[in-house]
Amino acid sequence: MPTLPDLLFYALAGFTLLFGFLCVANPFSRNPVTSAMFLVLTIISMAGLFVLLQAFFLAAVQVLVYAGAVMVLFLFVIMLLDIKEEERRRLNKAALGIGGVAVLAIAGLLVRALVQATPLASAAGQRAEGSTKPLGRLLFTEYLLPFEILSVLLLVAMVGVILLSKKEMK
Amino acid sequence: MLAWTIYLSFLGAAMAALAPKDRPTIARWIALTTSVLGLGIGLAGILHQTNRSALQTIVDVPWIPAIHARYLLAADGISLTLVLLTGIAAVAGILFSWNITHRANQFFAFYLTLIGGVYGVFLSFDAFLFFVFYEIAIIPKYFLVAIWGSTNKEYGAMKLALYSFVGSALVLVGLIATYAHAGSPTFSLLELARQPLPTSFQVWVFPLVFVGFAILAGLWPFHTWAPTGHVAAPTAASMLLAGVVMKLGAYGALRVAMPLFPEGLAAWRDPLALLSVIGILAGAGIALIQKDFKFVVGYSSVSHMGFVLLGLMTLSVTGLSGAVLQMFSHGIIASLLFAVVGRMIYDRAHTRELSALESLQLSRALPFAAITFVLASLASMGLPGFSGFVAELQVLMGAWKTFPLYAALAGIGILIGVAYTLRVLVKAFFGQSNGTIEAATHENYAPISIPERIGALLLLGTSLLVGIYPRVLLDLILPSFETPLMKPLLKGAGL
Amino acid sequence: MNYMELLGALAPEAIVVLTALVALAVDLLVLRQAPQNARQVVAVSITAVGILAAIIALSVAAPSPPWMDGLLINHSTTAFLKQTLLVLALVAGILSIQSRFTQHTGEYVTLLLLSTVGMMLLVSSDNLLLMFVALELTSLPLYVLTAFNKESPSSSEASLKYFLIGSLSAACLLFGISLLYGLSGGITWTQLATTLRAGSEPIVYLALILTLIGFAFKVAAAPFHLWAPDVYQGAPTPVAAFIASGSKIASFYMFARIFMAALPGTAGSAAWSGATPGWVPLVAALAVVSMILGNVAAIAQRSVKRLLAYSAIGHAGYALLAILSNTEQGMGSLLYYVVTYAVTAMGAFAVVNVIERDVQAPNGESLTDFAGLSRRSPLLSLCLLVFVLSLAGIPPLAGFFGKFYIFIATAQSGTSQGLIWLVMLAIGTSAISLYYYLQILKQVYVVESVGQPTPVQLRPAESACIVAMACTVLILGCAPNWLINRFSPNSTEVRRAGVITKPSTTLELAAEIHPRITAPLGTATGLVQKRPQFETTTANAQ
Repeated sequence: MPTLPDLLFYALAGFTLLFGFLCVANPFSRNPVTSAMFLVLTIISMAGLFVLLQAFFLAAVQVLVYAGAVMVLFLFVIMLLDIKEEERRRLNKAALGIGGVAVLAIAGLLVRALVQATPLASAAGQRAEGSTKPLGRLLFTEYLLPFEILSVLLLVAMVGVILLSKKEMK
Repeated sequence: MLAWTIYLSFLGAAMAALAPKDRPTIARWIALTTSVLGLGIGLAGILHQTNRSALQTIVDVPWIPAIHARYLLAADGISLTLVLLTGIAAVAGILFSWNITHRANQFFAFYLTLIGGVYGVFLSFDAFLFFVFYEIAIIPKYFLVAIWGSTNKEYGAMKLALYSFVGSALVLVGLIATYAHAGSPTFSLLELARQPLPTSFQVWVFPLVFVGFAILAGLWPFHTWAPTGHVAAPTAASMLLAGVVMKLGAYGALRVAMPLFPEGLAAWRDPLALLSVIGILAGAGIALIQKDFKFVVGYSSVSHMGFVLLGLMTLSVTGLSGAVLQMFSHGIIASLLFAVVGRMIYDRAHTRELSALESLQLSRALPFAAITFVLASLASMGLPGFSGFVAELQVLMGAWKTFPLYAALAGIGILIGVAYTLRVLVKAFFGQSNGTIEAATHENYAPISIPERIGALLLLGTSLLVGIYPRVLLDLILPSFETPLMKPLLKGAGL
Repeated sequence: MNYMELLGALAPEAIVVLTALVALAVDLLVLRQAPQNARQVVAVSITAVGILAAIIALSVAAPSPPWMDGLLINHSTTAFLKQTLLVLALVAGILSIQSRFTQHTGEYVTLLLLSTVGMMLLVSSDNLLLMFVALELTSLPLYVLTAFNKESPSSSEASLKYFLIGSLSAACLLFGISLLYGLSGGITWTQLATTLRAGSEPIVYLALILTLIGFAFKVAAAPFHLWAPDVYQGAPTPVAAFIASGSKIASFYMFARIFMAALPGTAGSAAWSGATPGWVPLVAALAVVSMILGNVAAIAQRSVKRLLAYSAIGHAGYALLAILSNTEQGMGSLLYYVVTYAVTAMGAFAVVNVIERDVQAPNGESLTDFAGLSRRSPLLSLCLLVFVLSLAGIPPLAGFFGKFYIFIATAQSGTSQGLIWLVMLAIGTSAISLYYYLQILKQVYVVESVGQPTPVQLRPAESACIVAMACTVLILGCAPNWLINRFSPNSTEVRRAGVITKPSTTLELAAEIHPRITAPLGTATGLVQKRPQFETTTANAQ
């Protein structure tokens, strides 16, 4: 008998998948703004999954940063560049076939794995604590190194974006 | 000391490569000095050897402990015979390429690299080292043929390189499988020969290794690189190809494939003997109908190398020593034939078509070339007094005991050999003139130069010496079959 | 562990990051108005100083114990690999001087250095979390660098393709490692190795496949190679050279370690008869496809950079053999192979870079641009000869011994030489490869250039680099011991959690062989095989 969190999990996971699919391959609209909106919904569903894991801080960040700030930037750029509706491309049959086989293979593997799986003992030993304090402590002690590397990664992204988007002056 | 044949050749190659581009003389003299020194060292090594044991270690140091590879150079009589052959063929080849001016420094650099690799193969007693030198010899061949060759040179060069590389790939598979299979991993030939390998393993590895080597020795039906390669190659390169490189294959078969896998050899002996007899007959038969002078010599090489392989399959002292002697003898004679065809005739008449040569009456224009070729033909036909006679006789005697039918067929091969040799001899030099021959054509031919004369005399003299007094080599070769590496081979044959 | 200790352990990486920032600042603040050439020289000089400092820091650093459950590990192998990566980055910097693909020299060296930092962290991590972050830090700058030539549409196209496929592969990898984490509850090699066993959970295989796909993309193994030809051709040549060399070393090292050290329990077997499921047969499948596809497709190429790309796919196949051998010797052979391959590929690309500058063709170089090179620059063609023949595996060059060592390691692993079929296939495809390598050399040495041959313009720094790399390839081929010994002593440490299936051959007692090799070769004293001298694991020899 599934419990309420289980039901919620399946619902949210289903939403994530559905909205993600609509974001990249919406059969009804080719408008980039629509896609961006579905991306927002995807992110919100994922935030819901974080809540189920009692990672409230991550859920909040997910909504604030991704669904909020980042998506605003996305929309801003879309409007600024005045991107037209994407044209429907003719699909390459061979590529579609190979891609389909690959997807089916992975999906088959997943289904097989799920069917044969035995319930795991709660493998991930400690659950992430929801509050910000332990998270911050971990980030600045045990996981300081990856955290700092991420700052370098952001620098790379910044340099790259400025460089690629700037007009070449001759 | 013998190791210096290798180092000197590579050193000479480096020096020739650094020699000034527009002064071919310098590169030439570097090459000649190096190769003469190499020949001298080879001779000195032989003199040194006669009063020592049959197998001497030259250098033996650990090289790559991770795979138990040692830098192990050694020499027995078989190696020394072939080192001597390499020395003679190298000197003669340089003398016959004295007229090369186009990128001469690169020519001699590649040439000497090839020679160095060949010396290395003949002196290696570690399978890994052997293989390294064997592969070093592949690439210079490609460039020698592709840059300085004639007639379809790029095709011939690529075919030559790929056949060699495929052959060495087969050998490599065999070596790695053997190394992985051996009880205590080692590449030392003596050590590997001592470790009994399971029969089932030997039966599949032996043909790989043997055929891998035999491709280079012109084993039928893998011989097709030889005629095209020989024809495409410049004179010196075809001298080396026929004179030395084909021997690499036969030597590899004798030195590596046969002692390491005696039981595999026993299983495959009959089919391989059959293939070598087919090679003798097919090579001779095809040579009989060729229109291009050089193709005749090219196919004759396949035929003569068939004798070597047949000799190897006899597994008797007579047959094996005959095979080694035939390697030497064919190396000398084929070099001479290619020198006459490629340098003396083609560089002057600019044709090798027998029908065209027929009307030129070259015996009158180039008497020295004609005499040389007559003598070389006699040697090639196996006339007593030349080295070929002793060698082929020994092979036939050895084969008679084990494969009487094949010996008889090989005898027929000799007869066909007489036929095609006489045919080209008559056509090329003593053709019937239609009366339209102008004296002017003959006067355009440059006289046979001094280096050519020296080279021809060197090769002819060697062949005569060995033909008249074969013991000079047999005394070297025979004790080699008493070494621990070779001895089990004869025992395995029950002789 | 306190912050200072962390900083000490991370000193080389910190130096490189600082160098990158200094180079960027100097270029943007001080040299804005300076001529392009001066800016390039200054930027590369700063890079050289920083890299030299980092190399020195690496060689004097005391070996630190694994920090935070393998979040950061330092030993002599990682130090050597990091030094190699730094040298390669420096060469990539030097190659870019005088090339006209960008005005933004400061950004170029910055991204190059930061990508190098990513690679350095990648080789010194025993931990899924750091591995993923480092992999991203490696890749992201490379995506940007690929797009650096803004005048060339193919550069942007290549970058977009690289970025999209790279992100996809990162997603696969992330999925895979998240499953690994979920199954084992740990993120370090030790935790993974102790919990994960084959046959227990089908999800293990799913995790293996996804992780494998992620790495197969990174090392350009077929069928996940599609980005490689376009990127090698479209990217500015120094960048392509760095992708082909540095990124290969780091990715292959991590690839080998995560499977050998973290997942030994799920290895399975790829023996011809009696294969069992696990990651080894999967790697074998990748290797087979890569070797065949890479070597066959290379034959049809007309651009040398594309040809090198397909040849790189083939070479990835050989390197995968070393991984699937799953032994210490396999690890040693893999490292020897990727390091020598990286030097060779960097050298080949350096020559291509010179030619490309020389011909100034709008669509990049092609095979025929190399025609008659031997008359135009004997030195350059001799070096190219060395690089190409090393790639083809001709002795006595490093490429030959690299392949040989891998084949030996593969043939010896497993029971009763079940993997010999892979060795046969590898040798066969390597015979095919000689054909297309000779096509390059044919252009260089055989074909004459059209018209009067004009000498190729070479800069001193550039030619010094090329000659040095050619000499390295030759010396490492003739005397491979030096490099092998750098890797073998602590391979136990490298895959310490792994199951050792075969004793290291270097450890095998030579004494077993010695008494039997005696009489016939005469002097027995010369035949004593000494036990190889091991270096101690400490890196502070100075």
